[in-house]
Amino acid sequence: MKKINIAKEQLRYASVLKIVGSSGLIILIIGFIIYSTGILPTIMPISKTTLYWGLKASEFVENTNMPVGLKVITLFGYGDMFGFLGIIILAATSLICFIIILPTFIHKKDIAFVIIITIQILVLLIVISGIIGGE
Amino acid sequence: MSNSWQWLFIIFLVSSFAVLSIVSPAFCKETEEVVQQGLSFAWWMWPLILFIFTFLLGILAVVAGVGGGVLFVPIVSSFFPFNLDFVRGAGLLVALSGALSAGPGLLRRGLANLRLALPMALISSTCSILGAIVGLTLPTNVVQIALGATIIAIVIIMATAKRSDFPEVKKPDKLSTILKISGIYFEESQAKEIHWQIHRTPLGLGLFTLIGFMAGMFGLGAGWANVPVLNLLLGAPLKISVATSVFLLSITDTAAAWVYINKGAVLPLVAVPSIAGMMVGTRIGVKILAKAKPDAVKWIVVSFLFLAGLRALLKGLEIWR
Repeated sequence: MKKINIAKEQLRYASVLKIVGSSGLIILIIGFIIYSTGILPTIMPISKTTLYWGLKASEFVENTNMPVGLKVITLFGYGDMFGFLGIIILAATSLICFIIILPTFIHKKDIAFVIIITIQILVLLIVISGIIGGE
Repeated sequence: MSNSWQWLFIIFLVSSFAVLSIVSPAFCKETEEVVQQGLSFAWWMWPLILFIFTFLLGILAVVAGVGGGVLFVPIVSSFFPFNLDFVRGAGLLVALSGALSAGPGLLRRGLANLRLALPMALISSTCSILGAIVGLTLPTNVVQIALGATIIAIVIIMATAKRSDFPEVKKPDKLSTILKISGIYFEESQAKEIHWQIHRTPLGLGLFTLIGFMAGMFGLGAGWANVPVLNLLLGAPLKISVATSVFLLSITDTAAAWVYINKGAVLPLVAVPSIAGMMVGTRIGVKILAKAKPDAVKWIVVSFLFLAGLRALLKGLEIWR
């Protein structure tokens, strides 16, 4: 196959995506094994989860008082919260990629894409923080 | 991931589930409880069934050429006892994981294009947040009705939409020129470099507001909509459209996934076996694809999807509980 010149920032994005995304998937499985085998104590027993998973998410949180969003980060000592680690890494992968490629666009003085990526980073930070779409 | 890593990952996944189901004390204790209480299923049966189910779904998705994300939500919500909120949360993560693992290769080969994807991703990801908030606020039956209607519309699009390998773009529009959205890729079938550019960018951006909203609201992968817009409307070559669509999903679904995570609509017990099953299934599907007859399988899967959409619609209308 003939080699095509790919933009530096695209290759950098691909590298970060590969490292963070693959790590997230591996941690997702390890986290689930730790959660499901009961190696760590859980905030809510797994068997109890099955009693509530027919409820709407809002009712589930109300009935179980389970922590949601970034609150789980402070509770990784619990198996059920540790099960979220991989999910959080996967969901944060794009943000990490954007933060890493932004300097390349700034260096190239590609103003339009600096603006697009900066807004994208802000949008992701706002939604991750729960300011919009939070509890 | 390289091939050896992919296979190692697959073996690791399959053996993990096998070992878990045999030796885990938690599983054994749970089984005893089930026997004593006379319950129909131990909790661990659900993730196991879900893993096997999504594994088969992953194979079918590849062989049929239909996105796994779009199959997951209507079909799993039809067959499993989880609330639609958790199925949509898992659906987003299934589509996100697939996009994240395919993204690096597509970007490196120049098939997915960062400059084409980023403006569209900004619009679609922002709107997916809105879609996710609306979807989690509305009553389940209303979302079911809308989901059913959307799935039936998707089936119609799949059955009727045409594709163009190399659409003709005589002159790029002003916005795409300012953003320098164009590229070159090597077309193996013709053994030559293909130069491409796009037109109608503002209209495309407008449509991505709707695509993003629906992706967030229903937890569906949006390849069924991304590809026709990128290919037929904007005029990107088919391969660039398909690859960029996959990459776009990784950003659109990320934004919506955070709403689901923050609202408690993601359960590892539902999401992880689904992601694992779908990823292993799609890898096996790629191997089977070489020997299968995709057209026949595609129509079986599309018919199945239509039935799942119809069931969601009737369930929402409380005609078929």
